[in-house]
Amino acid sequence: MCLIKKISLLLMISILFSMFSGCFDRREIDELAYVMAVGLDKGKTNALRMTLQIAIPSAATGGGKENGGGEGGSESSYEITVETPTIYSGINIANTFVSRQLNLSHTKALIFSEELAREGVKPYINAITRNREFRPDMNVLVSKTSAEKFIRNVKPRLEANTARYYELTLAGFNYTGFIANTDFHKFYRQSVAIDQQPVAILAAVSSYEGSEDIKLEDSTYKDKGRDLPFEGDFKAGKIPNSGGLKAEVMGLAVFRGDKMVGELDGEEAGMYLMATGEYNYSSMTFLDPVTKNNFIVLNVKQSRMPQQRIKMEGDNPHIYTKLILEADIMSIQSGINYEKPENLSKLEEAAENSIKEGMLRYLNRTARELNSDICGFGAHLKKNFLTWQDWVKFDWPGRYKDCKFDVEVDLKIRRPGLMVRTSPPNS
Amino acid sequence: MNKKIVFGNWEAITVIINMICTKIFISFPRFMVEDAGTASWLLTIYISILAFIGFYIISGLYKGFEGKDPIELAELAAGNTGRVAAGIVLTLLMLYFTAYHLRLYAENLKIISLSISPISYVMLFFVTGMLVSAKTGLESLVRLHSIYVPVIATGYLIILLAVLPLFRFENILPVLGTGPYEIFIKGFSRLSIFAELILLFLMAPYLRSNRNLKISGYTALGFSCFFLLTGAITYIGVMTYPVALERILPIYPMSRLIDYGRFFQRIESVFVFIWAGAGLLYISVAFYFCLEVFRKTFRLEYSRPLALPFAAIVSTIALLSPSLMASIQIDSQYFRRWSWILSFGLTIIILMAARIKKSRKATEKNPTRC
Repeated sequence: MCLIKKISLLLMISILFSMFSGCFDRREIDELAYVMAVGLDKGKTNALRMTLQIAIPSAATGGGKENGGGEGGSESSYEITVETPTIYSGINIANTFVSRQLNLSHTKALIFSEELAREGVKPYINAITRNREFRPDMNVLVSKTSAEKFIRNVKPRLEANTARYYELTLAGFNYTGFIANTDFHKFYRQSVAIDQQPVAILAAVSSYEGSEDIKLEDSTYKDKGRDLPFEGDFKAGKIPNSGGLKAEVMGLAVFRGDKMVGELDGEEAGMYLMATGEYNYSSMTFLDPVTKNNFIVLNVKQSRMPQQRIKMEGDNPHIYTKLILEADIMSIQSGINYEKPENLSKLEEAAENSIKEGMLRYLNRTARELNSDICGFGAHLKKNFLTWQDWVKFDWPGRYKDCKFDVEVDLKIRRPGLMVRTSPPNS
Repeated sequence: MNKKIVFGNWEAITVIINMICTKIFISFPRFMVEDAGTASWLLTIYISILAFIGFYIISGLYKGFEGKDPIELAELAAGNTGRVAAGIVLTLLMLYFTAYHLRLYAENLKIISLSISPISYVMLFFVTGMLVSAKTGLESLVRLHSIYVPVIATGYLIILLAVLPLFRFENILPVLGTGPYEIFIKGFSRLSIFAELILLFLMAPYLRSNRNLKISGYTALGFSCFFLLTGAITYIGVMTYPVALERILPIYPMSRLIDYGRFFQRIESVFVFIWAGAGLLYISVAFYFCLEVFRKTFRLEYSRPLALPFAAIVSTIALLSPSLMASIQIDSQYFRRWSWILSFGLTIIILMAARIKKSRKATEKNPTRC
């Protein structure tokens, strides 16, 4: 009995030793190369040109740079590009010349070139869904320039860690309203769904080298009947800026299924957020309702989810949307005392009309021009069907282009900022 | 010797909950979506009601057979032949439970965590667990359940609550999913999800009375139905149809979606912990009863010497299937469609036969009562 106990103890200790020494799947953290972003372009010599942005951990975790601020980012990652038939064969190729094994569990951005996105991304997103290393919260972007060019221009100035740069920049929709949350899970789910189509963040490398190069030709303000562009009347690559990062994001790429069918500018991205209830807050510019040549800036916040109803009028769906918003006054250029309760309603009405006009323009564009229900109105219609087969037969994606829209905006200005009264200039 | 082992209702309840609900982690929500589409939650409610009706009938028939398991009842009904026949069927059922789950858990662990390790190496962890449980016996196994199952349930509910913000009510519409025929006619066979309820009847000798059997059964079924329903409804509400058809491990991708800022994400580590624990407990119980049923069937004195040869048999059966896809297909298309016949049907037949035999005996003993 004693001998058996001794043997059992010896066996247990041996098993424990084998476990402590690691198993077949042991991978040391300093033997892995973490990919921060994956860029996919059409290849020249093969199906794909894949660009990988790889973190340099020693630089990203400080190395004296982060603490001192400044240009840690330019050294915290490096980029490699391979021509490859598929994503995983590309990673295999890259593993031959990257000293560490590539690991995708910290990838923050998946960037398709516009050309590839317009052809369809299904072959690639299918491969990504199957792999446990890719995270579902990774963002999907479409680059108007090549994905390779975009990634090579991501040289963060404030962040030493490139992953942190992606996290913060792509979460900017919370306070800009110019992009949206396009995480991979959502993108994939919507790409196979009937009731809602996917969007991706529009990215590009800036067209302007300096302030003198800035042009307004590519702004969308004229299409909206404005004399001057507002802040959201641009798309990535044409944002009037210089001196910042060359890589920029603004607007959304609209998909139908897995194929890109069009683009939205920054303002339309904000409308998308409001229509889907994902709008947080951001400052919005409006024309002064009295002087018509001054601006008023409000910090607009979506206080409740939008109310949406959809009914069939003959064969055509009629969609009613009510947006419930709150706002704080940020700037009144004209000096008119809009804080006065009797004037405030004028301002509210002007803001409501402006948002309503923008929303109708955006919704009609998604239906007539893009024919893609990115707001997910179809989901509200599903309750009218008893079985999935009936719902599929109804052919919602085919009917969306015939939708009629009614929009109601209820905006209440709550706070005036630090000023309770505007005094007109004495001139 | 084993007859002396007695445990409370709570232990029995936790064993049955784990045996029925473990499949939430590996297949159940997807099976429901495969059959009923967006109405997976409705199918879950339907089969839960069926399970309650089935248990009501069985517990009614159990009157007068206090503390007897189906093997003893089969012996009462048809003598040695009945005992051996029922014993072989139940041993095979337990062998299937053990072998299939051993393969599935090992394969899934390879998919989500140990991708390079050989399957036999991964299986070794579970085989070691089931051998240890066979050695330590039923009492320690059920005590372990009573401690660990609440932890598993808490982890599971945390995951469900954390993904709730991603739940969209529209995803469970259209309300009848793939149609009433698929749900209420074809869906009937999904009662097999509750096939593991047979273990409660195998535990009858340890529960002392029929009252305890009833209390344990109804409570375990109630909790199980709650967990199955919450799993099914959350899965379809978060993953949406038809994406919900694609996922091999239904709860795992949901746990990957949890993201509350930089400090509360990658919660799948909790999932792996509760999932592997639930699997180990499941395999251990199924293996223990495999040995125990075999011992009773052939009236052996001890079951422990059977542990090693049975472990070898189970491991071999587990590796018979050429791929994980083939294993899943066998389970989905055959076992989880028809095993209700064994767990509910066979038990009812045995009980009715034993009841007839008993009344005949009573008549023979006391003919004037007729």
